[in-house]
Amino acid sequence: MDKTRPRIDWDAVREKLKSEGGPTYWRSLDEVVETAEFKTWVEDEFPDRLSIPDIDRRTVLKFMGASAALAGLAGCRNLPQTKLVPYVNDPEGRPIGVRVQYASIMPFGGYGFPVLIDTIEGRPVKIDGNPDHPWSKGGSDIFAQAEMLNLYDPDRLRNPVNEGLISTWDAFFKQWRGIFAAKKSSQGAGVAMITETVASPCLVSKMEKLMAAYPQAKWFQYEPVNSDGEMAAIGNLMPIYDFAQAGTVLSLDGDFLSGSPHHVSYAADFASRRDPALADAMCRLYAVESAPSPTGAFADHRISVKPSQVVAVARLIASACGVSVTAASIPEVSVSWVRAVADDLKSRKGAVFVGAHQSQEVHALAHEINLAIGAPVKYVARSEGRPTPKLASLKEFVAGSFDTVIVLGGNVAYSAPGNVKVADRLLGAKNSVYLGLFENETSRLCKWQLPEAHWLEAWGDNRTPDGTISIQQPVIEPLFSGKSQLEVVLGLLGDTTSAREVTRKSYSVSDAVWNDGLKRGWMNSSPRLIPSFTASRGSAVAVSGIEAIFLPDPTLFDGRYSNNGWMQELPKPLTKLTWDNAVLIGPKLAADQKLSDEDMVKVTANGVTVEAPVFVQVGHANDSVTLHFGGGRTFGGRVLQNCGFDFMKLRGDDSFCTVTIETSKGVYPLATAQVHHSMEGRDIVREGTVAALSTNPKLLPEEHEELEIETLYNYTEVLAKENPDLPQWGMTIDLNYCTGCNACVTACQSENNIATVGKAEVSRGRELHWLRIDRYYKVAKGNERHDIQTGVGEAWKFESPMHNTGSGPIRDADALEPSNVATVFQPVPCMHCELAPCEPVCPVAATTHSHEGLNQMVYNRCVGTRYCSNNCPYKVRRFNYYNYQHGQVDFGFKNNDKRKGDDQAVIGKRYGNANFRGEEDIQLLRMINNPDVTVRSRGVMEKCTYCVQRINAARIKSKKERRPIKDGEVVTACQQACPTKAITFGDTANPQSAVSKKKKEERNYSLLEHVGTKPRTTYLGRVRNPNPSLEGGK
Amino acid sequence: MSDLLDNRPKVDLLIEGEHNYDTITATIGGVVLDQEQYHPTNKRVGKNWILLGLLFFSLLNVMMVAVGWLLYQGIGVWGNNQPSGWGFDIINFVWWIGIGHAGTLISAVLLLMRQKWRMSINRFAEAMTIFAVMCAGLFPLLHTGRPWNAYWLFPYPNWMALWPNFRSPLVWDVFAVSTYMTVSILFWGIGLVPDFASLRDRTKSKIGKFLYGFASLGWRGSTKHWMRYEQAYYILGGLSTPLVLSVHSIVSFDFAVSILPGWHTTLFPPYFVAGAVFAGFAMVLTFLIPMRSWFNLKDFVTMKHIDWMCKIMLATGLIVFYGYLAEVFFSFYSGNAGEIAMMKNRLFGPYAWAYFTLILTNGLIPQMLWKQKNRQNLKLVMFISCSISIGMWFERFVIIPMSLHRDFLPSSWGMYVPTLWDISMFLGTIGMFGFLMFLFIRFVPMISIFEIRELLHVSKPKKGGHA
Repeated sequence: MDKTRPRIDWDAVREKLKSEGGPTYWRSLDEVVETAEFKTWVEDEFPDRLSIPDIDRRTVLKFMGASAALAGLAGCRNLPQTKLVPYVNDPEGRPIGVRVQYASIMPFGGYGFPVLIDTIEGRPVKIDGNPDHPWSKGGSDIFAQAEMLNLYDPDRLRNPVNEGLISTWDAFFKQWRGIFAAKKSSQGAGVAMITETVASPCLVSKMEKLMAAYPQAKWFQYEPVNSDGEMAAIGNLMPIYDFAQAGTVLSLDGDFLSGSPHHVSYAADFASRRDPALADAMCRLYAVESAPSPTGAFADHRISVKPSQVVAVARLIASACGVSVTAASIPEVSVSWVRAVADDLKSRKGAVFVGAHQSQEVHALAHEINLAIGAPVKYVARSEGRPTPKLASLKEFVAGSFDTVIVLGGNVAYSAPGNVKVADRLLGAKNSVYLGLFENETSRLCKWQLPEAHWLEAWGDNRTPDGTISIQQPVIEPLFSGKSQLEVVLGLLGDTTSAREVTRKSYSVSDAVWNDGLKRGWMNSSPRLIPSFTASRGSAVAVSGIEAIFLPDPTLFDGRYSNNGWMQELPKPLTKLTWDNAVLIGPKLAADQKLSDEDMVKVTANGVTVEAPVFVQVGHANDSVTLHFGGGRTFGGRVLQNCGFDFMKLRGDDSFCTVTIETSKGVYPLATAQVHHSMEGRDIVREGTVAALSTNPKLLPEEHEELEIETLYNYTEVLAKENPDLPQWGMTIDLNYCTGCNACVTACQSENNIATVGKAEVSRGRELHWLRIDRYYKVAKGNERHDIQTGVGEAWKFESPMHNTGSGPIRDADALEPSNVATVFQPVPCMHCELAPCEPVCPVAATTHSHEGLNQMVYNRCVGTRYCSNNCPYKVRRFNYYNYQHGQVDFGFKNNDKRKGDDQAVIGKRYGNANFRGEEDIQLLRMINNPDVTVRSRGVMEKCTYCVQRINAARIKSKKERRPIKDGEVVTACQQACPTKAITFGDTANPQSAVSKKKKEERNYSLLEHVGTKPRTTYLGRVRNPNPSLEGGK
Repeated sequence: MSDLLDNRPKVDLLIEGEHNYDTITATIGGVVLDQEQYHPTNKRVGKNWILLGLLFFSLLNVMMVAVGWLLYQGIGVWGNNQPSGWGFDIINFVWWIGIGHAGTLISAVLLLMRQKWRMSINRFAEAMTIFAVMCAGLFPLLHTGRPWNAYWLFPYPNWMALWPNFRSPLVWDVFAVSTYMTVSILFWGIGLVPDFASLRDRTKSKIGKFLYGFASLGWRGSTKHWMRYEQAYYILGGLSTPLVLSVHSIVSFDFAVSILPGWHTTLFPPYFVAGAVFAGFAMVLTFLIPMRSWFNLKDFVTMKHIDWMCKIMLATGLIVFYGYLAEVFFSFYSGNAGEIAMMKNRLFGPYAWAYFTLILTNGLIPQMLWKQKNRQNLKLVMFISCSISIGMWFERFVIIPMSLHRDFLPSSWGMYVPTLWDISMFLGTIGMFGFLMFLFIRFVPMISIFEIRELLHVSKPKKGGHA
């Protein structure tokens, strides 16, 4: 009982009970008196059931509204105002954050490729072709781009090493000058210098000086990709093609559109003749090849023959062109085809190009045809030092006896054919030294290994193949203690002049001329033209049965890019293989031998057997295999470990030979970036013939519905109306010019700090390339093409993704005939859709649309739901499944070195597995990053930005100059790299811009137009120029 | 209640055996209190509970390891790839969310529809809802690349005045699932208050007295308490009712709102809701059938209950099956090349086995429930329930990776293969779910004591509460 409770008023109780209306039964006295307490208690115990509905609707809504408003208000706050104080005085001569470009020349195959190098605060970050130089015309290729990563490769040699112990340059020069002094009496007998091709005038003159001082010393040259066949045929001549003048091109197993920086200007010239507006004057390309190549893919007519049969085709055509030669017909090529090619060559200013690896006779016949038809080819004297057939030179070295061997660059121990035993010779030498960027198979056989200065670190000069001289201008101090070949030769000569002085002094020009030459990238020089020559045909190579052709790897070249993660992960243009090379066979051979992708086979040639997986390459010549060398290196860095197979061991004297293929046990997983090869009848790549353009200017597929995409909110118009002063960015990719060379992909990787992910991740489809090149096969019948029919809907069985990618077998009998297979390429960057499906689905608004029409990715805001990628019909978005940038990926897979914890020892495939130097290496690799582009971390989505950093740079510049951004001022990395200028970028709101003009062309179309995304990136259909007289077939 | 009185036989079947208030409390509460004297035949906690509990506990630990590794490494440890940005993560999310739905349906919809038979199973089903939503919630959180930033999906006031993107179905998901979780917990918790009070009064352990006392929120069983209780319960019931439809509809929007063939379909909301109820009842049965036998609860979860649940499964299963057939029909009827290719890929593609597993387990096997005899065969019902759980999982597999792996451009096609960590994570959540269920069985009355008493009360007056 409550103490404070008043006592019960008994009188009142009695009164109540007496009264007539009082209750008869009661539960308590409180009830009887109806005290206030009692009433409260009753109300409390039996509350009014209607109490809640009593609150009226308006009150409820008022409270709800107020709560919501208050919650919202809490989010509104003024941002604190802060000020940033810049440098009071900038460091002199070093503008912070401003790019400075230098012209230089990149050595490749001895000859130079003219480049421009972007440096930021003294650090080179990007290499591109020199647009003013005729040997580049602004384009570049994958190798030029990849040099950036080679420069910063942590695996580079860092110190001179003498028999496994770290030494110094002084010690080296002291010892070797002693050796040379001792050799003085014997005039250098027993001294061998092994170099690659050397075209640098400066280095050549110093080498000659050394040779002159030691007349008995020998200078040998070797590299596996060489011009031996050509030199045997036409001597010390270099054919320089002018494809801009060619109306017809016949490629005999030659890939003149890709594969080397020296093909960049060829591709550009060729493209200039592929403009559909030229109509009949459009260049026509015939290709005869064994292994499918980008050039073959581009060809209007492609014939697939065994490597040894190329000579038969060459004879037939030569004979038809009036060159005297005995020609016998072969079943793969019809008489009408030969006649058509010969007629075109003669009447349309043709030119014949031959693959460097082809036999002497093919080269001889080709150049005889060129002479006979007056092809736009000029022949210049080879400007390299001591032009030498390379294999013969190497054999001479092996045959000789040398106790002192100096190897300058290259990797002879790996790249020599299996039957040339260089290793024993190197090991046997009393004194041996290797100078190179990396430790490799050769360096480990030499007593001394010396770190070479990268060409971006050293002074020198070089010539482009047409003879133009450029100065190799360093853009950074040597990162390690490297010295260039020139400096080493100077050192051996006892010359203490610096390489810069030597280079400068070798040009007796005024400083003004010199500076001008440095600035623009080349010195005035004229090549020596050779007007006539006689070709020597030599004897044919005898091959029988299944043939193997040895070609440089499309991305690793001769193995010199094997330690380059970008190149390992770059999908090879046709196979789309990454991180491995394989035995490429045609579908017919695969069917005959019951082989499928990834099956291990034993390949035997010249008495050597290599076990490797096969990869079925549609369109590959029957009864032949393609073996790319450059893979399977065993030593020389961490990236190249366990990548690919060394086929060089199988090679003999010739670039093709007889092989036997035996099925072996097991499978070897291969990582391909594209597993399905047919467009399945979808309207993806539009193409047609130039003849059909008049009736079908839009190159529409047969079954095409014109779509009127209706929208309540016309985004394009609204954007333009609301932002009349802003540019509206857009891009066109003219498929008519895309050769599939991959230069854009690597340029994008270099520009945008795109990480490599390693083989395991690629096979899971997690590669990060913002720009990919899709490759589809078609069947060409006559001049018509249709998609390859596949058994996509037939694969009932579960297929392991590693072994067979579930893409379904090819069910198209026509596709088994290699000459019928046509290939199309389609670069796919972000489409920057105006109605981007990725934008509305992002829960945190991490991907948004700018007023200039860019589909932006805000990395900081991204939480990584991957919904945007799922909803992207083009699948151009890339996700950081691991912390790829720090090479974390291998932690769980391959890395055995777990000593140093996450960030350090955990190395991606990019950086190899063993001996990781930890944080130091990561710091070094960070130097490659473009400071204008955010480095993405784990769990973040990324994609093509249209190089927004370049747009912003142009915007800043234009604002400073108080003018709008000019057309062509913003050049995306892919656009810049493209040798054929297939990519156009600019302001679509400006009707005068190049991109607007491209978009107005009839061939312009949107990829997956029916989805209604309104892409800003559009394509222009591909136009072929087949010979009308070959309508019926080959 | 008048309808119940009018329908006597139905009520009778809801409680079997001789029971009075005391025996009801003892039978149900005995499981928790472990007090034999309340009911001499009670088997109490036995070997089965320990063994299965241990199994679930070890699976829970597998999950902890899987989550730890995931957080340490990143999403890369899973099989997700481009093009299949989602895989096991979202399959499991949708699967678990679906399983939760039976609880809400039973508690809310049947409550409002005055279906008294729900009283025997609602507590159990609601607990399942909560635990299933907990399992489900893990996936969208952990499937993000940077889970430590996942709170950005919530509209919280922040310095940069950034809101989530309200156009994104994932944000709708956040609201749907968090509302669902909140309401489910409140509903369950409120329903438990009177029972906690009963346990508080009966337990002999001091800790038990304290904990149950705390959980019962000072419940005295006064009229006022009961009245408030009922108000709250019905309001929450009203709030939950739309949730039954909305949550899974919104989850289905994750797919339906996108443009991907196989996802972009208006069929999804009803078909997902039906599927969720279907899956939920299957899971309730999977757990309830052994539990009622082990813990001697056959009197309260009678064959009639099982029969009715089977009927609901059959009905919702038919809706789902209709959905499957409609999908096939509309894909071809649309004439859209992408849709047709998607359906051909389902029927004949490399994952066709998964599609036909779905049709078998979700479409055909449940047809056995048409027969009364089959519905009374517990082993068969158990088999069908398990088959439905498997089928519902495959339904999401068919929708998610099978649509993603072959989309618009054949160049980006690929295969989706889960890794060991995907499987660990999935099994781990089953472990977590099971372990929580086992803790629930042991510490919370798994059948609503007071509601069963209420049933006894309404059926008692004439027949004395027996069958």
